[in-house]
Amino acid sequence: MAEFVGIGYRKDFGNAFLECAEMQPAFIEVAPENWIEVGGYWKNELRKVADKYPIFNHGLSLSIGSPDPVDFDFLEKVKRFQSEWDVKIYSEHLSYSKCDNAHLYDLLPIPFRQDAVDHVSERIQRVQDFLGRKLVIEIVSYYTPVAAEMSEVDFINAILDKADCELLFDINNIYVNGFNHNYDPKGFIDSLDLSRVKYIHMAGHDKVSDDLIIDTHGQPIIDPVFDLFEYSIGKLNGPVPVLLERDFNIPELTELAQELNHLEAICQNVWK
Amino acid sequence: MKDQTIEQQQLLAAYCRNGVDVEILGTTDGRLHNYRRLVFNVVRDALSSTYPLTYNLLEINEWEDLCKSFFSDHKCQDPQVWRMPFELIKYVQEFKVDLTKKYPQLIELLHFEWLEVEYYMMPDQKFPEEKTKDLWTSPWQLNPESEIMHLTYPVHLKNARFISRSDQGMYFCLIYRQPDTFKVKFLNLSPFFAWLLSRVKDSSVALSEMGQEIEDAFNISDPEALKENIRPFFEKLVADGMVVT
Repeated sequence: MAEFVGIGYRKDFGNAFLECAEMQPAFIEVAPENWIEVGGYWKNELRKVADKYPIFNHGLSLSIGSPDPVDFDFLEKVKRFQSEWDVKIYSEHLSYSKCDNAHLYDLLPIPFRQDAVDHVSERIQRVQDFLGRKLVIEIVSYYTPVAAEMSEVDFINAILDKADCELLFDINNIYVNGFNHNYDPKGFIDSLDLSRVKYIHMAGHDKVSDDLIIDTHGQPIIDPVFDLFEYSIGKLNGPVPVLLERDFNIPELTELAQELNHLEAICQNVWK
Repeated sequence: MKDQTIEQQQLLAAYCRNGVDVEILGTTDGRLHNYRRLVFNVVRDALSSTYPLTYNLLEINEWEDLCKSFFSDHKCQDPQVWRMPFELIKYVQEFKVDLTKKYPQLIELLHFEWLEVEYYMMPDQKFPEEKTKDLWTSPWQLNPESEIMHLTYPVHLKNARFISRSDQGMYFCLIYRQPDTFKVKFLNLSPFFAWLLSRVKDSSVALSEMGQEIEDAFNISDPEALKENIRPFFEKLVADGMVVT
């Protein structure tokens, strides 16, 4: 069984997940939105998986960067879910997915501005107080900045500091953003407050044109992202959990297991 | 946040919902459309996977227009994307008179399709602890993960494309989730069995005590004939986990 690397659990995996001898993750991650108040077949399946692996949560709908109020009714459901399933880590996206009282079901970029830093930080603190745990916020991939007045890395560091929250270090996203916005991912990483890193995400992407990558989680991880991963984890103070994400074009589980084991081998090499 | 920051966020969100070109501060040329595409794809995929029969019933442009106008005009309320398609039903009822006129079966078809998703996913309900000992002398203990749909079009019996106004009538369909397989099942019911099932669901009375009621409702007075009529239906419900024994 892997020591450091988990996998995003997909309903597409089906029964094969627990039967695949090669697939032995350290934990699984689920989006609470896909499982809250779900019974029947899927609850039964999740119970079987949860009996074998610790569960992490990666939320989709908190919309921490939204101008709209935080939805505490929804957050109460998240809290109950996390209690029921003994969820170890709750991460969310540094983005917004609801605006003008309408959900958008995808991740929109927050303007890199000081007033947004203040707004988001205050909301993260309220969420943390409500849940009684630290929120782990993910650096999201984005395809255009919106109304930026400061750099992305300054924006992120300011929120980490002001909200006193933790960081989901999505290394594929940093690679994607570096490519899309023409900056050096290693330089970006060197400027991040890495003492806040609690969790790492790794995934593949689709290059759709000469100057644009879309963060699809629909392809295997490419070698430059593996290289960036090795570079990054060597800069951390110590081990943190690492997640392999695959949301589309799901291959055979044995193929995913190979990718997971590759990540695990890098972790073992750097952290042991 | 400052008004200008909020305004830029609102502009981007509105653009993602309606696809109408917009000027947003500091964006990279030619990149904004990716957000509209990605956001709308999520919504359209969720609707298409929830309503495959409706998708097949409507013309391609009708379905596309419906998805677009729904997402543009309606403020989606549910944070769980798999529940969001439920909101389409009310939207169609209120704002898509042209479609409901052309397809009189549309609203019932949407309900029918949604119920399959809802029952498959619904939280586990508490089953009765008591068992049904006999079809005649003990009250029927029913699977609580069930309901009877009253329909005016046979969306549970016929391909929706072949349903017309001439099919209008009174139909009943039992929907339930099997407790052992978790599969969602539909069972066409005659008016008699729909009435009987509703009656036993709402009371703790055995059929043997309902003789007069049944006679009044359906003019069946011979208990033995009644029992023999009901037995195959009862056995089917027992076999499918709809009656708890």
